[in-house]
Amino acid sequence: MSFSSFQAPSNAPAYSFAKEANSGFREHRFNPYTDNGGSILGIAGDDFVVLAGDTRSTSGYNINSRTQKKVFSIGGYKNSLVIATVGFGADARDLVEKMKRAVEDYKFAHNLRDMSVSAAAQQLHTLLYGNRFFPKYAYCVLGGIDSNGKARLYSYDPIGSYSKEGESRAAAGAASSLIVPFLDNQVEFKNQHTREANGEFVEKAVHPLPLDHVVKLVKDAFTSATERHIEVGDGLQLVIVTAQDGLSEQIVPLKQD
Amino acid sequence: MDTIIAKYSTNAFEEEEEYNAATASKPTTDLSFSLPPISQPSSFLRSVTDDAANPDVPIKIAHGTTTLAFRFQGGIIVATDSRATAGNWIASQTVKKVIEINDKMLGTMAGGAADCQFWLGYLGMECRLHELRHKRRITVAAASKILSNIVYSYKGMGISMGSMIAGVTPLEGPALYYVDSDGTRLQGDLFCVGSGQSFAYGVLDAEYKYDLSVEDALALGSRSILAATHRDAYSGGYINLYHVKEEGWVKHGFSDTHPIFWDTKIKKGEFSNVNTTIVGEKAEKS
Amino acid sequence: MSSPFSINGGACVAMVGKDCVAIGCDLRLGNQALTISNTFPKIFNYGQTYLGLTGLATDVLTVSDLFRYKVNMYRLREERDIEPETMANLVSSSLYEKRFGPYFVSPVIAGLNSRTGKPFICGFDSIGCIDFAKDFIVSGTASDQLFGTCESFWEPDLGPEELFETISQSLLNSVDRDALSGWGAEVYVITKDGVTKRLLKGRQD
Repeated sequence: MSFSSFQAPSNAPAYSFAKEANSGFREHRFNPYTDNGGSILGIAGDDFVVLAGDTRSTSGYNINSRTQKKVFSIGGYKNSLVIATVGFGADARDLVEKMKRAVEDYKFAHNLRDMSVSAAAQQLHTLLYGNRFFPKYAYCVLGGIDSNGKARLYSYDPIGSYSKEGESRAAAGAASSLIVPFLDNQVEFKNQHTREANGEFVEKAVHPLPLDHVVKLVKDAFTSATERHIEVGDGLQLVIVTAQDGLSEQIVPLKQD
Repeated sequence: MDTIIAKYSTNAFEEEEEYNAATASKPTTDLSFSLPPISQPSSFLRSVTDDAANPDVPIKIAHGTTTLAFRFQGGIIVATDSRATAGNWIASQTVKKVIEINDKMLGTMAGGAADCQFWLGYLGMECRLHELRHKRRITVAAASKILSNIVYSYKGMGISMGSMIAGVTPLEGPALYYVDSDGTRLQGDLFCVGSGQSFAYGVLDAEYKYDLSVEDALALGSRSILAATHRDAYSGGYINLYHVKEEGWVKHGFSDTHPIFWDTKIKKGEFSNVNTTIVGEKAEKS
Repeated sequence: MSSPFSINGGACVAMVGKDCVAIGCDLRLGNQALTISNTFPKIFNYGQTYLGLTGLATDVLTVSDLFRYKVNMYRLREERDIEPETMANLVSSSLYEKRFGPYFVSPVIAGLNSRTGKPFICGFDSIGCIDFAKDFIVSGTASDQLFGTCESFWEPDLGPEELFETISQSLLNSVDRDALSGWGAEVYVITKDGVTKRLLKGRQD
């Protein structure tokens, strides 16, 4: 076999060290963002919310931390409000601090009444949109328990778009594209069918999942994401909020490679 | 000592306004947006959010839509799809792109999801204030003009929205306006907005008549969105249907396109471009 | 999105089971946002060896025809069908010939070795680097999504029917989250006793 059909590069040298002609002035671009990687995930049951995030913080191919948490409690109604954030760590933390303050301020401005989860959801929307022209590079998922003892879950884009009706599951960050289709199938039963008595197939009906099952799904989702995404791993922070037992947190080890 | 310290140090925040901006989580309905500390905020914003120009931007804003609204003898039909995309990634299949401004007026969302949500929400507030101040409901003309004036004042800053305002008032009857972030504001009988607009126009224009019955009008709105979700990659999910009447708007469901598509195909024999059996076996043999 | 790999859209996946393999693809051909065809399968068979091709549609057709020619020449010289392992090396060297002006395709191979009956799958980048995987191979505009679903759903030693269910669920749920893939899907399950080809009823939006 010959290599005659090799096609050589046409004219200009394509070496990575080939210098471009110096055009004189060079302007430094304003670059206020770093992508710190990682992924977050939230699933709402009937009367509980699970928010989870990995504990790795990266910058490019470097790992800055293996123990950086991404889920935060911000108080509010029955101390049930929790936020998970990914994106640029500094912007994410700033948002969480601002939300904590907003929840605290609300309490003192409303006769010591705690902020409800729907009010916190709207607050986060306004906060994010307030930075419309200098966006916070942070994807947020907000969870909590409403006044009827039912679970609520909201997810946001960096400039504050969210659904007032809430969601049953939400994921964001580096590995969201790996996790979401899995959740579509396992939480909303997308592409699953059941056979009726008359032999016809119908779409499987959606129902809230029990807590132990949700925790299993979250662990599965993150072990899978850890296998296939370099920015995800080290540890899994699981925060569970229930109407009866309040807030609990656990850290599960993930692969560190 | 204190005087010396006072002389050589400055307050962390020189202005009270600056202090507020840095610390308070006050509502932004006073419309003070934070800006990056550079001379051209809009070009910076474009460089980090415009995924059409550069697919690798860090902040991807949800785009892509088909929305439509048309006036007919029984009022106004408003219909939308429900897909939100960030690049080729389908971020959501369950977006509510019809915003209920009040019980007699609706707005539709196309373009930036947060832009539409925030400004139509803000418009809802302005409409309520108008009611309280003037003791009567705002006209659709006035409401749409409030919105177009707002977005026009932010022109060039990167806001992206294409919206239709539909409502019924005693003064105007059923009225429909199109407003977009360029500052365009048009009154009309029929509009389709979004990446799938031309597919929706194709079906809608062919069958539209002012004298349509309510049932036929709802079916036409739904069928036009279905056509758009089929051919446009950035439209899909669920069909959100509304009917605006004199008594106010009525919701006619948020229905998955998947079963509707196969029903339309199999029961009515439309969409014959989609196969139900494997084709092209002969050509495959090598 | 002006990358040649994501103008037309499409997805492909191959999986290993117990004494069987499966390969599946979507059916969409688009021009950016506009769907042009929903009858564009991306899997081609060369005897008992199956080749999935995603990427630029013109190159998918060109490369599939190129390998039909090459495999037919191989068959005339050797008087037998090509084995999947041999096919893998043929694909690799053919793609590397175009190192500086590549075909914009991401190929996937699936098949059973006709002598040993051993399942074989592999994937390539557009210039022929082979990825020998023991579990699954994904390619196309929904590859991120496929990595997620396959990594979650796949397990070792699945029988033909279980493998069909696994690959179909992985494929359907992945393309439903990609704007440029979907509009129906095809899945082949290959066992020593024969090949079954099934058309999946997917979302048409």
